[in-house]
Amino acid sequence: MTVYCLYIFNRYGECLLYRVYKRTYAPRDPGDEQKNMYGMLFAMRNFCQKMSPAQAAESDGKGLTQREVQAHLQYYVAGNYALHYFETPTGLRFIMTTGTQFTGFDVNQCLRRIHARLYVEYVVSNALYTPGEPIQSALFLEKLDAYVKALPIYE
Amino acid sequence: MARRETGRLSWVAKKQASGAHKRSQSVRGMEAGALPAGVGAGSGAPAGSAGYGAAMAVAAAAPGAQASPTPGSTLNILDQPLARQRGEVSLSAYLLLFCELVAYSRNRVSSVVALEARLAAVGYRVGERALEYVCAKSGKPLPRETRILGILNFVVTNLWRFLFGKNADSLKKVGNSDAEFYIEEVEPLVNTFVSVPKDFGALNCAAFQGGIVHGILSAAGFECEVTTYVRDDSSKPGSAEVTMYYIKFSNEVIQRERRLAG
Amino acid sequence: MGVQSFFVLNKAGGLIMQRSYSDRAPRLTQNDYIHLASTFHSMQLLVRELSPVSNARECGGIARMEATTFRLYAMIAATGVEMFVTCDANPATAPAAGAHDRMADFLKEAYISYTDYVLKNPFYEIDMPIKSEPWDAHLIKIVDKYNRVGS
Repeated sequence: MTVYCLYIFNRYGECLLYRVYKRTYAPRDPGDEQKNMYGMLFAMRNFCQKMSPAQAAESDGKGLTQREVQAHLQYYVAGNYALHYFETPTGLRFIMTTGTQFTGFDVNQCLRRIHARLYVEYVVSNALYTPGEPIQSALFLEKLDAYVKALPIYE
Repeated sequence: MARRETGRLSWVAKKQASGAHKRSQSVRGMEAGALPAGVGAGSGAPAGSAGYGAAMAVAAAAPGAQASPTPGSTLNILDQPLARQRGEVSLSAYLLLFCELVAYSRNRVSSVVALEARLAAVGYRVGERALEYVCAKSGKPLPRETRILGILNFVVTNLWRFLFGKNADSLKKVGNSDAEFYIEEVEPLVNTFVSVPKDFGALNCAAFQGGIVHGILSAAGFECEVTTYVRDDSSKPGSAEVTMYYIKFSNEVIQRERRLAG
Repeated sequence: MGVQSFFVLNKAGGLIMQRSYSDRAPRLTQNDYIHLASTFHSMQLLVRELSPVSNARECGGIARMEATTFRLYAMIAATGVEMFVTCDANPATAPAAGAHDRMADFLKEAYISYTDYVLKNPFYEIDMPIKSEPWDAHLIKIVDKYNRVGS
């Protein structure tokens, strides 16, 4: 059970970050793979929205926002890996591929923390960073690696 | 020459000896009582199959011998022991074969009625052979049925169990007539997974089973006509569609029945 | 378990069967369902391409997918026929223990009933849309069985 890779995409499909940890099989062209990944997740996201269950009338008066009512993809498990997905309201996508055994551990929570505590702090607040460019901040990468390697699912 | 325990003149050993005889390809008369001669024929067979014949005789000489195939030989269905055959066939295999039968027939007919008639014709051939097989393979000798009720009961119990693993649901007489009967079945085996599309109208693949009944009755000497109907019983509580095989015996059979009844 | 919808796709990714078993299943047009099915089929292919530990041939397709309000379980048969089912998911709680196994069993039972009621029907053509009332009735029985068991 381990972490394979981490990706960050912006809303235009540009890959801002591609970080490899324990990946054992890499394609010849990472750019190709990133395009495939973004496209597939875009289709998957739309699929989830369409398949979102029809909401019965809320009888307890709880007002749910449109965003809360719709289904958002959290993760999928394939034959030999799992992919966790978190999308911010600004269209930023955080993706982590891990092994298949992660029951009891909420990897989406990790992605949210990466966004809130690492990305927002060290990238967005960085005056020298232009949004839309690949992330090259050494401080951010150092903190990110430390965080990921400290995760219980990382071996 | 292998010594045989003459006290155990088992049917099995006799069949094996005749099997060895067949394989040795020598034409010798096999009389029923000439058992030692048969064994001798087996072991005296031409060199090529002598080993086989001797092996068969040795196997037969062992007490309570069963027909065990020697390497390189295939056992004929007639050589297999009679008693205690489970006789089970995989339902999947049977139904897939039936599927192909229906598809094959469909390609060669031009109407639904003709398709049912064709399935019934195939069933007829099955029925003729089924009667012979069941009578030959039953553990105890079966009496030959000469009365209508006798043969119908035989069909509904023994033959249905042999063919489909269960008894038919009921056997009824039509009104006061002596000539018309029907067998009812709630779920014919061949219709287990069949779903007939709308454009085939009233096709019922159980016509195949109706054909089997027809073949059995004809082979037993009771000429008749068998048609397959479906009665829709959804109005009665607890019963769905019931398949009926309607049997109408011919005049000769009725007259014979009257004569036998005295 | 709250089974919502059940889809069957042929090996080319075309939708051959779709049924909804719950009020909570989304109400879409037939075209939408066909579209979703082919999207899912191409997702299956891409998921295998993106495996970080093996090449595409060795990676099995999507086994399950979880969104905030529903969960999806899928299987691919050796013949290329794909089946997937969506069921309720409560975002606040983690899935009950054994829920994944139970839904995998559901798919297995559904597949076995497919091999029985559909493949042994003499009037069914392979890869064509399925119209079999006995199969529909049997599927409803299976869905009820899995709905009764746990959450």
